[in-house]
Amino acid sequence: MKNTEVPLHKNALGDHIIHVEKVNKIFPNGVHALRDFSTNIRRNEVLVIIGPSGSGKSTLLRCINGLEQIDSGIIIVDGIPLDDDKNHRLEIRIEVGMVFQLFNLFPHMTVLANINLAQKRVRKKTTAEATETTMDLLERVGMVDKADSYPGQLSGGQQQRVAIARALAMKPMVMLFDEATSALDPEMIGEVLDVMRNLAKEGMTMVVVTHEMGFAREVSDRVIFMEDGRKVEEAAAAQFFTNPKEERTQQFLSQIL
Amino acid sequence: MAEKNRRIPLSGPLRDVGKFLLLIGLIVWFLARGTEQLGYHWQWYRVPRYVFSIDEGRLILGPLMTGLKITFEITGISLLLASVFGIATALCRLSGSFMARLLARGYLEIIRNTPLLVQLFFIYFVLGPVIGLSRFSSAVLALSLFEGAYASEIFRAGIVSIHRGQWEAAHSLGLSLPDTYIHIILPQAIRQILPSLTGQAISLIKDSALVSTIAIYDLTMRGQEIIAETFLTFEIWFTVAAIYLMITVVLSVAVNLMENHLRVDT
Repeated sequence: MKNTEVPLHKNALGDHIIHVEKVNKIFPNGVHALRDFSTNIRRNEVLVIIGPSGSGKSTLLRCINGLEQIDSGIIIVDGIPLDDDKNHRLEIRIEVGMVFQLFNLFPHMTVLANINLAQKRVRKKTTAEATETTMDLLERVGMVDKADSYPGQLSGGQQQRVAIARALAMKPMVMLFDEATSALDPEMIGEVLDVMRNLAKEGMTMVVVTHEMGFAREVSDRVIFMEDGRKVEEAAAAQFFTNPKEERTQQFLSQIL
Repeated sequence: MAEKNRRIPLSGPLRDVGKFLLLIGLIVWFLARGTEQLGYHWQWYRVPRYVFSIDEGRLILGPLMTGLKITFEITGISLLLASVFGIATALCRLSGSFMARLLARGYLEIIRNTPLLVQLFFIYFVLGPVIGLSRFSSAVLALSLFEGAYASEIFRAGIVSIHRGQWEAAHSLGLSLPDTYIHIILPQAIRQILPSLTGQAISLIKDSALVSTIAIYDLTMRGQEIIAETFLTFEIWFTVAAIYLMITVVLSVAVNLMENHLRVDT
């Protein structure tokens, strides 16, 4: 946070760790994935985003950590604007952890090496320091005995737990979960949701794109329902699930609950 | 398998060896007949001393072996340089910079669309005197530029074959572009392209024979020299070919073993 303009943004944002304002994203193939999308995410909040496929949920997450360039609008993460400044983009990438649907572990490295790599290269830790953090995290996700395994030797649920530990190793301020359980066999979903549940309890700020409504209901503070790149409804979790206002939301919930 | 063995006698490896020996026997017989008609006088007994001789219990390398040493030196250094050129060119072609892509493309097109022999002469006779390259350096530069161009296409294919999710994971962890290449993309890409790279290395060894044209005393040049002195045309060319064959076969087998080892690891 070398930048001088940072405190200004911080004041303006107050409690908000992520500020998304009128963001538009149009893919080269003409798909308008986000339309004037705005929201704020508070510290320690768990925000769940639901919606039919192709509604722009994943695109929103990918825009927040800079995997996709936005076409217009403002995204500010912890006071750092996501603009063309390379340093800003790098800081945001480091401060925002992301968990992918397909895990994306590095297949040629052991679990330990997967989690150590960015700590050593980005956080400039020694191997011993990194390994200490890694083993702590593996303990938390129940994977200590697999530290020397390769990803290919693990089940999907185990790989995803390792992927979560890898993202946490960077000590991010926000964790983004992009359909983290969608590629898993049903019997493995629970173990990954448990890890996410514990993270939420510990006060991690989380943005979760999911189809697991039970989990959303239990863990989230706030829910956003998206369709066609727009925010259809945004409400506190209890209200959203028991008393949704929009007709489209009611329809969607009745289909999947 | 066991049942099959009983039904067909001489199946499996034994039969393969039999077929191989039969084939070799036929080729030798045809050659022998052909050379007989030519009236060629085989003098194999004169060949070994050009490979090595033993003098008072000490092994003395013959001219073919000293030539082989030069071939090894040239191909070894060229292999390293070609890998460097190959990776650098592949990265340039995949980079966001227009200039880098243009340069890489220009290099590729020039190298791939002109004969290696012309490149070698150009570097030795034109570039050499201008920038003060020795005979040996010219040879190494020509070979590594040539093979590097082909290697770069192999590297590029390997890099683009890596799943996008690997890039995204590296990106979200805050890894820099060089770190992403060094620790994540290249190690996986190289595993995938090892067979093609071996093929390229074998080409390099074979193409190195061309350096004899600028009077570098490699294996081929030594062979020519011996033939000029002794007229053992057939024997020496057979021997030279066999030596090249041995090197390339050993290389293939070694890489195969390495590949199997790497596969177990992942």
